[in-house]
Amino acid sequence: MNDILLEIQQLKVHFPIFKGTLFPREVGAVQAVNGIGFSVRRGETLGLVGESGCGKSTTGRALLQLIRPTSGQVLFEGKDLADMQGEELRRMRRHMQMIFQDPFASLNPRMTVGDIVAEPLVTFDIASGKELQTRVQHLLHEVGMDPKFIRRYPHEFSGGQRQRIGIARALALNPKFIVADEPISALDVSIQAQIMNLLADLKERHNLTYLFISHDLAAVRHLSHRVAVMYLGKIVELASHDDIYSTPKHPYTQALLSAVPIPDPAVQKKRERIVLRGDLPSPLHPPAGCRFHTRCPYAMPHCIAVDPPLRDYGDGHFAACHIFDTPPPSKL
Amino acid sequence: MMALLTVNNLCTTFSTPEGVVRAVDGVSFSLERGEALGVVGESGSGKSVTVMSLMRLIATPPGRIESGEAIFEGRDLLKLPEANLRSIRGDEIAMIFQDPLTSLNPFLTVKRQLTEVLETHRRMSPKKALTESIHMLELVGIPSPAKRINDYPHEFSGGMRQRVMIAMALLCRPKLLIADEPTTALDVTIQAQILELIADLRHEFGTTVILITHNLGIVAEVCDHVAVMYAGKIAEYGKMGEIFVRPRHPYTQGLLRSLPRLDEKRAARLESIVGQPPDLTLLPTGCAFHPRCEVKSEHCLREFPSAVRFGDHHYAHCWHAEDRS
Amino acid sequence: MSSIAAVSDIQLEKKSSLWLDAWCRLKKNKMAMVSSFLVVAFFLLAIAVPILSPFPIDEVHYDSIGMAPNTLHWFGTDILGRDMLARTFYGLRISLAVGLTATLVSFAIGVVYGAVAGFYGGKVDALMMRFVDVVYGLPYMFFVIIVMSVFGNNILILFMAIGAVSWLTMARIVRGQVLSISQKEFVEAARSCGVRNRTIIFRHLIPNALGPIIVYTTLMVPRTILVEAFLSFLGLGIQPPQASLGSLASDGASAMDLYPWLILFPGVVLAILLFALNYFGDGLRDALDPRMKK
Repeated sequence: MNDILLEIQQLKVHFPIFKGTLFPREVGAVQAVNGIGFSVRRGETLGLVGESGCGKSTTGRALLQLIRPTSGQVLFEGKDLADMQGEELRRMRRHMQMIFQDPFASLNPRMTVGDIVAEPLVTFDIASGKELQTRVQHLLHEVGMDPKFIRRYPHEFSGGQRQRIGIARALALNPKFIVADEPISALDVSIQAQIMNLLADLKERHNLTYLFISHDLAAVRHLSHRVAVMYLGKIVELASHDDIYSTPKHPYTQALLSAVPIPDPAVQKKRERIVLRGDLPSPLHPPAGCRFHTRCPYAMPHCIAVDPPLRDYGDGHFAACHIFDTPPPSKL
Repeated sequence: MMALLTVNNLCTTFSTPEGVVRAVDGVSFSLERGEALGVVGESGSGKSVTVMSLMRLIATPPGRIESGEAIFEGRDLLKLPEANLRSIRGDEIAMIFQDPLTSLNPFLTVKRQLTEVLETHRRMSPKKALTESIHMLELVGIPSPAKRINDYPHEFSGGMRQRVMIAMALLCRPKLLIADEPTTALDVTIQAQILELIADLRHEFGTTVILITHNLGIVAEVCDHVAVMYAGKIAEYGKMGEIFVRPRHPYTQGLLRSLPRLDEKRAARLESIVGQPPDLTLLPTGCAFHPRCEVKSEHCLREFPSAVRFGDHHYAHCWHAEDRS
Repeated sequence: MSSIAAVSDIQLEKKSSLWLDAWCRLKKNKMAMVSSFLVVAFFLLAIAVPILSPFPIDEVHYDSIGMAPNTLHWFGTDILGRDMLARTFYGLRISLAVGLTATLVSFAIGVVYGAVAGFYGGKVDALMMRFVDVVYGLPYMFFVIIVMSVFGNNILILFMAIGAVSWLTMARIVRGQVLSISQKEFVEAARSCGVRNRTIIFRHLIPNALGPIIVYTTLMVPRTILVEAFLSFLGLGIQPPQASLGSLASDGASAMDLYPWLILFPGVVLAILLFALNYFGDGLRDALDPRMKK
């Protein structure tokens, strides 16, 4: 179980901003991901939660090299993907796939369902002709679609069915690792549970490893073994799913958890609510020190000066916050 | 006391290339003053079309309000002349939408848009309108409102923009506030702020609220009554406590069971509702939920169920609601 | 294993591809079918006119000058006694050739150029599009005129010259489309599946940009026909006794009050051709979109 499939170190993704029309020059950078590190064990589901703009989708894409990292390492079975180029990288793509958020945008509207699911197999010359067709039908069957639909176009299906098609495509190459980027957030409530169950079943059957990205904390808790919480391009807390929900350490995690509405009025009444003040600061000019200090109910002077490192508080429960340091090392 | 709004047998259709679609099919409910009603449903359930029909904001064609009445303080909104209706909209009834960017004019400052409402509906002097607008922005929690009022909508963040939208909706102290997925585009921490704001404003002004959402958690937080819609019809209606504790319709039960919850032990599998949301152009016969229903009988295929009552304010349209309770 | 066997036994719905499906949808669009029939008919007539017509294009008959349409000369004759029916369809021949060649040239260059710029983005895009801007800045009639006067009055050169300047707009349109399409998740999905760039451009990007491309292409055929007419008028295009629809119309316009049929027939043929091309283009655009039902 302690076998590491993927490890990232000091991962940074900055999007430069250019000004000027004829000779554009760089005037700054959106610091979408700013020096994060974690590892994903073989066979586990790591949940990545955070609000929009925290860099969770960028992280997922940087792992797959769909966005090239500005710096840092992405070690997949010990090999650094961030270092790879061209054909070498293309070969590696067999082993890692992605499931996308928007089932309407993630399927080419001019290709049939069969062609969409077959594309990865054709690209890597894995199957052709009759065999290709059989494999595509088998994939569709596996995700709970009627295989006779392969001649149809995506627009003929509902959101949940399209998401199944997208999952079949991701499975086609028998990958080891799948990044699922908000795979349920665009779906109807009654369909979300279906897709979560499907993802869980496939993981079992194919021994998959997931990075499950979502802003839906309840869904992340349901599917993940461990959960990482991101805020403004940094990981602020990382722990097992039990720990992070029962004993959250970081004030942001606590606020995030308390903000989730629970569909039970009785529970709702008893809960204590931490409502954060203010908005997410711009990732173009993130606050100095701890990035959360502008909204943190426990902010101390020290927090403005020093960015707290992600520290292990036992049992693999990591958090990046000064309130656990005793005593506050400086007066400001 | 007379209800603020009574809707009877509202039907709205849309003509599409595939045929006429009944988006809202015989919806009836009534709303007491100060009440908050949550309308829950999936895409295509007709929840938005219902309130858009009340405000007569359905594009015609392709849409058409076929029948029904909506009595708002003695006046039928569906039969009022357009001019009278316009003076009600934005004044006595206000709406907030999912995406404030589409409902705020990007070319005008917030000031222009807010004061204009007061100047037209309340005939206020520009100066008084400005003071009032700044006051309202302050009320909805916009920092330094006197300065920010001169900004354009895009200069506000998503949460702040929704606050501006709410401020604009509340300017005329409407009797009824219709919120159509007001927090769907927002993050959870911002959503918590906005829901808190709506709750506070309800207490402050006693505003009656219709909240449309697909999120049952939000309903549990804000509303007193819930209407669960499926395929253009109300499947179940009742007091919030009732619906969440003793849901009677298999659809409501299924929805509540299928949600992963933060406050419960993690289950190995979620109990999901099978099948897909209905295609309105090819609605199943009888009860539209029957292809996805675990307790369906032959009766469900033939006839849409009449309401089965459970106490005063709770009913479900299901042939098997009684024997399952 | 049994599930695989069960799966492969399934009777599939009919064999299909994007183009086959498009054809099925096009067949159901009456206007588009009538239009494509007209275009094809015009084509055949334009090709066959030397065989069908009893009168050569340049045969001058001083005994039948300026005759109104009659049973012998259906479209009448011009002021040199030449048969207008023959001249109109000879003209159609030249116009169609110019229009289609120039359009094909600009289609081929513009689509690939725009798609490459839009797909690679960044510096490549900036450089390629600046080049387009610069060429755009040149008065393009001037460019055509220079080419024509340097390389001589050759019809082939004329086709090339017009095509070479009209791809610029196409490139801009395609680039814009491709830029927005490449943001779509299905392109990202293709990349994450290891699909090669060339395949992404030709399988994912261009087919989804086809709508505007086809509309612009069908608009371009009439435009190049008009450009050719203008060049002919300046004496740079088709030289008498050769004729194009444009040159016939402009000749006819000068004698409109005396011999109205001289402008009427070439004008009507040109108008029908342009209408048919537009309707055909619209129909083709709809047919190529699987989301359009019927």
